[in-house]
Amino acid sequence: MNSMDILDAIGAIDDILIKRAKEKQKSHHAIWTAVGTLAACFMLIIMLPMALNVFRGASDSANQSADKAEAEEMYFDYVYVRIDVASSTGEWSFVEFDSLKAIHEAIDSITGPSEKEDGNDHVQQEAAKDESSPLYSADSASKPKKGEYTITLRHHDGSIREYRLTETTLIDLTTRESFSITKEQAEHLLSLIKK
Amino acid sequence: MDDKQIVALYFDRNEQAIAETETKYGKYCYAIAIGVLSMHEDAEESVNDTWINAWNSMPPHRPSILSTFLGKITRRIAIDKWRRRTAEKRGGGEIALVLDELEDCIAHDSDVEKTLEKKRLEKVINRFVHKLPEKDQKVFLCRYFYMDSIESICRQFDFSESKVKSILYRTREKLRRVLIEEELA
Repeated sequence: MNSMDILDAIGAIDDILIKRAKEKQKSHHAIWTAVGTLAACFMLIIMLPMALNVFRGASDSANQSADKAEAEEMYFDYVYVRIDVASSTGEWSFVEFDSLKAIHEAIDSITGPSEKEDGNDHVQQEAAKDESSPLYSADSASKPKKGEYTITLRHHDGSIREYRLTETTLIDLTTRESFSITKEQAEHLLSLIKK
Repeated sequence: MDDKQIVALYFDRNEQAIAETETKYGKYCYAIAIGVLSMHEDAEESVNDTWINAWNSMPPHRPSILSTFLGKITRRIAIDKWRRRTAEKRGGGEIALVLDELEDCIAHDSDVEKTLEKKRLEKVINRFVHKLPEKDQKVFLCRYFYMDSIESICRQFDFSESKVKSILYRTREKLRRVLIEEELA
C-alpha cells in the first residue's frame, strides 16, 4: 500500500460527493453581507411601524394640544351668552360647545340649514341694548322688548348671523325673515341659551 | 444541451456526442488534467483521451452524473500519464520498461490480492470521506481528487492558508488512524 494506491482509491469516491465539492461556495463575506442585509430589513420591518406610531402619537398629541389650545382660546375669547333680557346689562355666561352646536341646530331646524353650517359657529347672545358689543348690528337696532333675546351666530370665518328670539317668533335680522315657532321650540332655545 | 441528451447521443452512437461533451465539459476536464500534470500538452491529450474513453464506455455504462464520470476518467488518465512520465524520468528510459516487464512475472494471485485490497481501500476511503464534516470533506476532495493548489482552495472557500493546511493535516491524521485500524497501512 502506497500513496498512489490512496490517490487511486480517492478517484473512486461517490460521484455525488465529488460533484458537491466543486459547487460554488458562498464566501463568508457574502454570507455576512446577506445576514446583515436580512437583519437590517428585519429591523426596518419591526422598527418602522413602531417609529411611525411614535411619530403619529407625537403628531396626535401635538394636534390634540393645538385643538385644546384653540378650544380654550375660542371658549374664553368668543363663546359667551348674555342671558339677561333687554332691560338691563346683566351678566355674561359661557356656553359649552355641545350647547353651541345644539343652539345652531335648533335655529337651523326652524330656519332651514344655513350655508355656513359646520358646527363651528360660535354663538353669542347679547342683550339688545348692549351697543358697545362689537357684534351689535345697527340693522338689528330695532330694540328687543323685555323677554326677547338677540342671538348671534358667529361663523369661524368671521361672518355673523343675528336672530331675534321672542316667545312666538324667530326673526332673522340679516334677511328680515320671520319664522313662527312653537312654545316648545322657544323654550328649548331658551333652555340652551340659559344652560 | 442537458446531460441526458448528451448521454442519449452516445447511446445512439452519434459522434455529435463528443462535440457536445467537449463544449460543455472541456474546461472542467482540462482543469482536472492540468492539476495533475501541470503541462498543457499532456493535459490536452488527457482530455482528448477522455472523450475516446467515454465513447467506449457509453454504452453500456449510463452515468448518473456525467460531469463526475468524465472527471474521473480524466483524472485516471492524467495520473497514469504522470506515472509514465515520472517513471521515464526516474529510469532514464530502459529501467522503466524493465520494471514493467518484471511486473509480468509476479503471480496472478498477487494481482487478485492487490485488486481486492484496492477495492477494500476504495470502500474504506469512501466511507471515511462520507463521515467527514462537510467543510473538511470539500477541502479534502478539492485537494486530493481535483488536486487543486492550497491557494486555489483558499480562494474557493474564503479560508486562510493556515486554516486549509490545518484542515488537510487533521483529515490526513484521521485517515491514517482509519487505515491502521483497517490494517491497510
